[in-house]
Order: sequence, then structure tokens, then C-alpha cells
Amino acid sequence: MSNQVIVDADRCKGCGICPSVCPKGCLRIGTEINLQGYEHVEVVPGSVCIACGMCVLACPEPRALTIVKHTEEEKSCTSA
Amino acid sequence: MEQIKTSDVLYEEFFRKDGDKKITHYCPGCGHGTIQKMIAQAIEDLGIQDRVVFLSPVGCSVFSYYYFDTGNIQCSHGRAPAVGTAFKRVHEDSIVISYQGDGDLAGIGTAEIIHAANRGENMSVFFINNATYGMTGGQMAPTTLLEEKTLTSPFGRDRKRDGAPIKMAEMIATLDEPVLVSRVAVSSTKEMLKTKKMIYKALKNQVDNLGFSFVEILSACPTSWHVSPVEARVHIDETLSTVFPLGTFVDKADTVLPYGPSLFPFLSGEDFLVAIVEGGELAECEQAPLKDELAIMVAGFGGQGVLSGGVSLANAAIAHQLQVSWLPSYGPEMRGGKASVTVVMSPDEVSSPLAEDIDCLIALNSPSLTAYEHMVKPSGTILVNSSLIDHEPERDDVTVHHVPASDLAKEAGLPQATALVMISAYIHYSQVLTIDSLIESLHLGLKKKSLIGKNRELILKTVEILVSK
Ligand SMILES: Cc1ncc(C[n+]2csc(CCOP(=O)(O)OP(=O)(O)O)c2C)c(N)n1
Ligand code: SF4
Ligand code: SF4
Ligand code: SF4
Repeated sequence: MSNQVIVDADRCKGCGICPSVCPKGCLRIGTEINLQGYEHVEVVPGSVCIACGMCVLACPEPRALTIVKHTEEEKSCTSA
Repeated sequence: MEQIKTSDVLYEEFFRKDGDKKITHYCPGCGHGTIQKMIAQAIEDLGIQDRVVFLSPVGCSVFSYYYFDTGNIQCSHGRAPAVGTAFKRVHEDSIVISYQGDGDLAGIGTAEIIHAANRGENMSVFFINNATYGMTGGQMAPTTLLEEKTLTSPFGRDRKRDGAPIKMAEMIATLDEPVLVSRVAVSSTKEMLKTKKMIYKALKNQVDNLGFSFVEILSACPTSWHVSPVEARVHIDETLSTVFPLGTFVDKADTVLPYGPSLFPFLSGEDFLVAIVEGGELAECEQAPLKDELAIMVAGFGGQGVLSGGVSLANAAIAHQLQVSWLPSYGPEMRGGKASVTVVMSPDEVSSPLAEDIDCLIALNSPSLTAYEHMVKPSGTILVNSSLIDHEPERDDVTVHHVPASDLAKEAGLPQATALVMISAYIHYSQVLTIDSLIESLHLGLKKKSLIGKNRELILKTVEILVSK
């Protein structure tokens, strides 16, 4: 099981910063519009997040992004 | 299962009056949001949330108190370092964070930050340099780049007219006291990681009681810069940081001694009185039989000894174990201008040195009588300097005494003791204090000690005349 990128769409202002810092191309600005009227960010299907945390660090909005990191153990458990 | 998320030091929802509870009020891609998340994380990592007092400035970050679940004070424009100084000195266990923009810190508040830094106040300052006044719509700031077009420099910042961008970190670094002075940027991944560390370090220094830490953070204002959020962060690396070089200018964290209170002794009570009252011991007399506060105003013109007479009265009251305040009011001229002093004496703490109603007015000249007689409480007292005042008070609900104070003082060769004559008379009539205490406190108030004898004689002479009247 890979790391999970959770986007709280209504907390995103679609500024495009997180896609610009993700080393793995996991994020992109989508076409859907959120409650505030912003085209919010979405996870690129099939991308693999390495839980580097750069998107969370760079994003100006509190709680727009959360990364759920799966440890090696958990990974091997689920794959076993 | 580990999570990488926003620190809970920021509220879950923001109770702004108008505005969405889930998002900040910052423009998309604004550097403030990123920096405040980093500060929140450092607060969490250091376990200091319940000690933090976050000082919001005036500027785009004025609403920080909606976000930080800590103590908060919203300060007047540029004054956060002064507010922080007071707060930290009173609450030594607090962690004071002064968060300020470049208009705030490098414009209107330049004096406050320089002096707080120079005193080495034990606080952490985060200086958000976005090279513009964001909140007011993008005017030129002291940090705006040369040739940069802004609302107030429509043809670009001109060095001849507007000066060059001010480099606060370098300026602060010339001072002896700061422990940490650094400039970082919220731009590329690499720089953001350094910024995160530097924010932590500035707070850790305060936790370790090391003194003043100053972190200048180059931060994007995509709105005023008229570029996209991503371009704005690139602009910081490519342009802003060539004018404001990144780096650490001062780091004494490993060598500096922990910040401590002043080495001069902290005096209170009797020791304090003796130390501030130049010239020796306080007279000691019996506790005065006073139940309520008394306010006495002495008013005249410069040269009549109004202020020093007030000091003598205050010292006599202190000798009788009363609490006293002495509040002078005078014009810019040394002599000849209006001068007055209000002395409040009380068996307990003085409620206020500023009295709206007074128990006694000592009027040394005619304008003072006219100006202040309305302030005397019903059944109060007015003492009139009959040498200079030829009309009666209008009030008929007060006791009036006449004393030819200027004549007596002049005869004694001490025109500057006119107020003292009146004060002797006040003590004689009111019987709250004693003439002895006034005489024995003279040495505390008189600058020329050689005149103590003559002043004593004048006081005794005054009383003699009043008794025989
Ligand atoms: C005493 C006073 N003078 C001027 C203003 C107008 N004013 C509000 S914010 C500001 C400058 C803000 O710029 P900065 O400190 O750089 O913060 P930013 O908004 O860019 O984050 C000014 C001049 C004010 N509110 N109060
Ligand atoms: S944690 Fe790293 S890899 Fe994962 S989405 Fe964020 S930036 Fe990309
Ligand atoms: S950085 Fe934050 S606000 Fe900007 S697009 Fe990404 S999630 Fe949205
Ligand atoms: S005007 Fe600039 S500093 Fe102010 S919130 Fe918008 S982007 Fe941020």
C-alpha cells in the first residue's frame, strides 16, 4: 500500500504551489471548482507519493493537504 | 500510521467575522500562510503552545489571532517590539513572537525594532519582507527594489528620490546584543527547509533564554507583484535574494550567556525610596491621621518654586508614612510660564495621580485661582497668595485663607520659596502633617543644601505670623 495524499478541496485556493514542489508529480490543478470558487488541486491518478512532505510545507493554507505515510512494516503487511 | 499535516497550534476553524471558516484571508499563494504554518509547527515541536504570545502587526497578517491557538495581542503599527518588551519583562516565562511585515518593521516601526534589538530583548522576531505594503494595495515599501513599479512609484523606485532598499538584517547585525540574525526565503524547496530550521532555532533560543533572535524571511506577495504564486516564489530566488542576500549574519547561540535580568539591584520599598531620594535619610514621623485620599494642587508661574515646593510637601507626607504621588505640569519655558503640581496623599495606594477634584488649591497668582478654583471640592480649601492676588475666589462653599506669601519670601531673600510659604500655611491650617516633618524633609528636595537654614527660618516665620493672626 503506498502513501496517501489527502486533499481537502474546500481548503485549497488552487495556487499551484504544491504541484510545483512535488518531486513525483503527484499533484495537479484540476478543473473542478470548490465552494470558494477556486479550481482546486487533485491527486494525479497512478502517481506514487514518497511522503517527502514538501507539498504540506510549501502550501500556504492550513490543512489543505495531509499525507498519510505508510511505514515499511505496514507496506509489507498489506502486500503479504 | 504517521501523518504529515498542519500543526494543531493553528485552529481547526477560523472564527473570522465575515469569511469562510476553513481558509485564511490571505491571497492564493501568499507567503504569510506558509510561514505561519512553519511557526505553528515549531511551536508544536518545542512544546511551548501554552507559553506563546503571538504579536500580530498591522498589515496583511493583522488577523493572525484568528489562526494561532496561543496567546495573542494585535499591536499598533510597528509597535510590536515595544509591546513584546513589556510583556516579556512582566511574564518572563512567556514566549514572545513578534511577527511583522516590512512596512510595519522597516517603515513606521524602525525605532522600536532597533532599540528592542539593541537591548537584546529576549524575544523572537519574524520579519516578513515582501518588498511591498500588501494590505493597503501594493505601495512602495522601504524594501521595494530599485526601479520596481508600485502604486506610489508608478515609474519605478528612484534611488535619488526614494533611497535604496533597506537591509534590516544587516543593520540589526551591526548591533552587539542580538543572538541570531539571519535572512532566509520561502521560495524553493531547499530554501523553505532552511527557513523551517531557522524559525525553530529562533524560538529555541528564546526557550533557552538566550536573548534576541531576528529572522528576516523573503516572502511572496503575488498580488502586489502581479505574478502567479509559482512565479512569485521563483522571483524571490532570481531577483529578491540578489538584493537581499540570504545567510546568517550573527549566530552566538553557542557562546552567549543566558539572558538575565539587569545586574543592578532591584530595589523596592524603603531601599527604593532612599536610593531615589538624593541627599539622605527620610525623616520618620508618626503615621498621619488620614482616612481618605487628599489631593492638593499648587499652581502659579515658573520661579515661584511650585514644583520643588510640591516635592517638599510630598516628602513631608512620606515622612508621615503616607503613600504619595507628585504630578507636575508646566510649559516649555524654565521661568515665567505656567506651572502647577498635584500632590495626592493617601493612607493606602494612591488611586490616581491625576485628580479631577481637589481638596485644596494653593493659588500663587491670579490666573491660577481663576483657572482651577472650580476643581475644589465643596467644603474644600483655597489658599490665596494675597501678595499677588487682589480678588476673592468666586466660590462661597469653601474655606479661604489669605497668606502674603510673595512678600514673606521676598523679605527672606528667597523668592523661589513662595510656594513653600504657602505649603507651610497649608500644613498649619490642615493639621494633617506637621511643620517638623516639612522642615526635616527639606534636605531631600533642595538642590542647594546651603539654603536649608534660610528655608527653615522662612517656614517658622510663616507659622509664627499665622498663629498670631
Ligand atoms: C498608524 C498607521 N499608519 C498607516 C496605516 C496603513 N497601513 C496599513 S498596513 C500598512 C503597511 C503594511 O505593509 P507591511 O508591513 O509590509 O505588511 P504586508 O501587508 O505587506 O504583509 C500601512 C501603511 C495604519 N493602519 N496605521
Ligand atoms: S509528500 Fe512529497 S511526494 Fe507526496 S505529494 Fe507531497 S510533495 Fe509529492
Ligand atoms: S499549495 Fe495548497 S492551496 Fe495551493 S494548490 Fe496546493 S493545496 Fe491548494
Ligand atoms: S496582498 Fe500580498 S501579502 Fe497581502 S495577503 Fe495578498 S499576497 Fe499576501
